[in-house]
Amino acid sequence: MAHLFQVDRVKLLCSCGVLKPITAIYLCRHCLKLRCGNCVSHEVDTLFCPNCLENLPSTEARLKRNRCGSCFDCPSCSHTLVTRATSVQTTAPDDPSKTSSRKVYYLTCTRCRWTSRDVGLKDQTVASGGWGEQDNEHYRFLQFLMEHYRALAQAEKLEREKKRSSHRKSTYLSLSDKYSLPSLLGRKSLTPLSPYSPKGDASQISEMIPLEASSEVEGLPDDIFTEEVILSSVTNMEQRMASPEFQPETVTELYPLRKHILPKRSLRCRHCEHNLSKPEYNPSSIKFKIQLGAFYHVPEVRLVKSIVLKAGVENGVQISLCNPTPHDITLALLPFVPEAYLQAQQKEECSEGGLVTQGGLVRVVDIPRETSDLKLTGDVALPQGQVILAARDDTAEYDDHDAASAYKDDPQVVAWRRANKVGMNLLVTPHSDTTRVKIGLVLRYDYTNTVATATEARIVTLNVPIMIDVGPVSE
Amino acid sequence: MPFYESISGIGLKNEKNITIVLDFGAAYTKAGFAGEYGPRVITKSEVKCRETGKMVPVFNYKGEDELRHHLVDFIHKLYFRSLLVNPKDRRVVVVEDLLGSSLVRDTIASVLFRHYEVLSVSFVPSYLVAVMTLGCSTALVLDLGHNEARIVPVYEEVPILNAWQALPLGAHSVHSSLSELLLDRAMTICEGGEEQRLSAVMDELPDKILEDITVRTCFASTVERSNRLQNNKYDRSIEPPPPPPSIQYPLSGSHIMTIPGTVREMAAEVLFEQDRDNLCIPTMILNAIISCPVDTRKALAENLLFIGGLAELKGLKHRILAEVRALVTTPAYSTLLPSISFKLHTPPAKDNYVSWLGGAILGATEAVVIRSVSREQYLSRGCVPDWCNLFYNTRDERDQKTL
Ligand SMILES: Nc1ncnc2c1ncn2[C@@H]1O[C@H](COP(=O)(O)OP(=O)(O)OP(=O)(O)O)[C@@H](O)[C@H]1O
Ligand SMILES: [Mg+2]
Ligand SMILES: [Zn+2]
Ligand SMILES: [Zn+2]
Ligand SMILES: [Zn+2]
Ligand SMILES: [Zn+2]
Repeated sequence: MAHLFQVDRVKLLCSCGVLKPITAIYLCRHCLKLRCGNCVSHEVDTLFCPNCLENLPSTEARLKRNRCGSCFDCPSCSHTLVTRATSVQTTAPDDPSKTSSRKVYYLTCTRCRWTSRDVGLKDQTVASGGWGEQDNEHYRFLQFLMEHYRALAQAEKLEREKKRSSHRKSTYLSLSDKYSLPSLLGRKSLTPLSPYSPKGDASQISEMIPLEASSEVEGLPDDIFTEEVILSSVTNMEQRMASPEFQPETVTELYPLRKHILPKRSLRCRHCEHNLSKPEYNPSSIKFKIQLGAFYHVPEVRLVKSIVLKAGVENGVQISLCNPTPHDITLALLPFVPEAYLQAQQKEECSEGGLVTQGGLVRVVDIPRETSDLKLTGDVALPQGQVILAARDDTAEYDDHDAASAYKDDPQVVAWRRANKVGMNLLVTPHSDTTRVKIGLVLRYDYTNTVATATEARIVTLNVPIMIDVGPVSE
Repeated sequence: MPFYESISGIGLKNEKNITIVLDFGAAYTKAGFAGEYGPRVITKSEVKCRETGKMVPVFNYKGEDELRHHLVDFIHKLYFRSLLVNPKDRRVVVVEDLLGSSLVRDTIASVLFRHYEVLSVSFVPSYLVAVMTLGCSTALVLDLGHNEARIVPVYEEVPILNAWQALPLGAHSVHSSLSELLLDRAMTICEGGEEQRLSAVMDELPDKILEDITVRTCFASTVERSNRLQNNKYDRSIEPPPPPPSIQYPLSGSHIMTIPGTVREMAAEVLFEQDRDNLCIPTMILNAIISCPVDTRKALAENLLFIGGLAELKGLKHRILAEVRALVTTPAYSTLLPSISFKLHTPPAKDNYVSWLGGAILGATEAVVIRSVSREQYLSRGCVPDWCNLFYNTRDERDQKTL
């Protein structure tokens, strides 16, 4: 209940059918519809290291396997490692009596005290970039294997193309086609015969020697029945899966992990391909170039105070409405009828589907509609008539003069008015046999669209369905 | 129009569009890029439930909608936390279990195509691609996964589906057996220092702890010791073998549990105890071989491949092989499988991502282009081809007609 925006009490119904709090909803200014994380397309915008806040271009990130070149995580507890410098005494090889001191570096974890020295890793002579990568022991075999299958698949593809162009009727149904990928290996014999076979393939194919099965398998270590186990010397699953390719079994095999980088995401409306959110490039900036959060474009509804409703009678519930835009907003509250809403949605879907096939140019891939729990457990009497929400004005807060007088408010509708906020009273009657009251309403308001390319009128009327969890019912 | 068609234009070697390879498991999901030698991430198959906010297994679902929500959120995490590439207009290879549910398969396809707008999806059979990692074409694949142990023999690149075997003997069954044994035998030391039975302190152990104990302390014992332990159960005069050392295991809330050595040794015995139908892992292997055509049996027995995370359990591979060799000399099998020898492969990967690796090898070839379903094809048809759906199997003939 303590959440500033009452995320679990007041929810907006997104155009995809999901109920989400205003903080998780966007308003596409081109389609003029609500969108949410479920129905927009997400994109990786920029990549950065969360520790050193360095940007990584995507090509570099790919080469570095999405890991930072200079930061490390502890392989034991995944905390960030720090580089420690110490100096060591070394004796000159030609004259043992002369000693010199040299700076060396090692990695250490300030949380669990793991150090790269614990596991026998040599200290580095440079402060960063010295730690090498672990090598996959099967590297060479796998390299040949990949080449081998690539060549085979290439040959198979050419074979297919030839077959298709020659219009030959296949008289049988190949068994291997039926149950598997048509046998890449079964057709091995065809490869050398293919006139298209790329040169040099034969040599590559021959270099791959299949693995041999063996009749001997490593059993248990002899001392397993007698040796005490030190639990902390055996790695747990998290430690193993932190380096999936190697999966160390004992802590002596732990190797510093390069820090995984993170993306900044941008969001795009599926229907019009416009960005709904695009972050700034700089990793240390938390600002956005584009941010069409509903929070900035849809009047925010909050419950003024949380109450316990009485069963079977009308309860007064006060909500507040807040205008986040720099334009005055005229709004009205309308009843929300889930059945009618769903029907309208279905109709719209049909007509949209028709458009797509006719146009054929941009094909919108629609996600399946979500079904949310739209069951209302209370009736609400809404105040009739329109209200004007004053534009948001950051200087207004310092003004003391009474705003209320400027608007000729109907006291039946407006309970109070302060700067860009208005309070309204609703009368809620809980349905019988319910313990928690949920009401619905549609917020109809005039939105001033500031999009430069908007072809429609600058001021458009939007309908935003809202579900409010008013609170529990007492007997 | 042929359903499978090569989509030219976007080459596989085009670095920007490297294919994604996904292997969804009941317990762990492996994800990475085609052409690489290991997955980028092996993560627990868990998502935050949209209603309760608690972490729940992806493949625990009450209906299609819930499964879809789980998959949308889970795949989002894979792309935007681990792979860090745009899903849109990129190919995906999904390593699938031939014996898996078609609802899961259809939902995966729907989520990838509709939510993530991927360029194409190809489902590749896990058993087949696992064999590809060996560079050979024949092997009897035993997948020791989380919920089940499954066998599909692959002969000359063709999965022999009518010989499949599956039993609910996966890591999960080891965990349950461990839990039972611990509640029966383990002691705990509380803060005050007094000793109590574990069952007096708690009545069940969380899955995470059971997995941790299994992974870090348990092992599969030898045949000889196991027999002595069994005999001791029925006849107390037979000496049980001296138990392996016990282990002090810290539990939450300042309890320290003492795991008896015998528990460490016996947790994995469930895999070898024959059930009511006299079935266990060794019998599964022999039954699978027997269900295969006679002329394939020798080759299959000499090319066993054990995959799946449970195969990492210390001593397990050795034990299975020993049990199989002993079992084949018993009257039930000796006449059917005379003079047969067994050999085991060591895959060029950790056991739990062998299938993923196979998918990554195949995903780096043109083969994946030819056998994938493109987004256009999927959207116009609304489903993915299924290997058991004849509509798609008679493809060559239909190709001819449309030409
Ligand atoms: N490196 C490892 N060492 C020890 N145990 C492991 C290792 N990797 C996995 N396991 C164990 O093996 C079990 C099965 O892992 P696996 O990844 O094969 O499951 P899965 O693929 O999700 O299951 P399924 O194939 O049934 O869907 C896990 O529960 C885990 O406890
Ligand atoms: Mg698996
Ligand atoms: Zn939405
Ligand atoms: Zn960094
Ligand atoms: Zn640490
Ligand atoms: Zn839009």
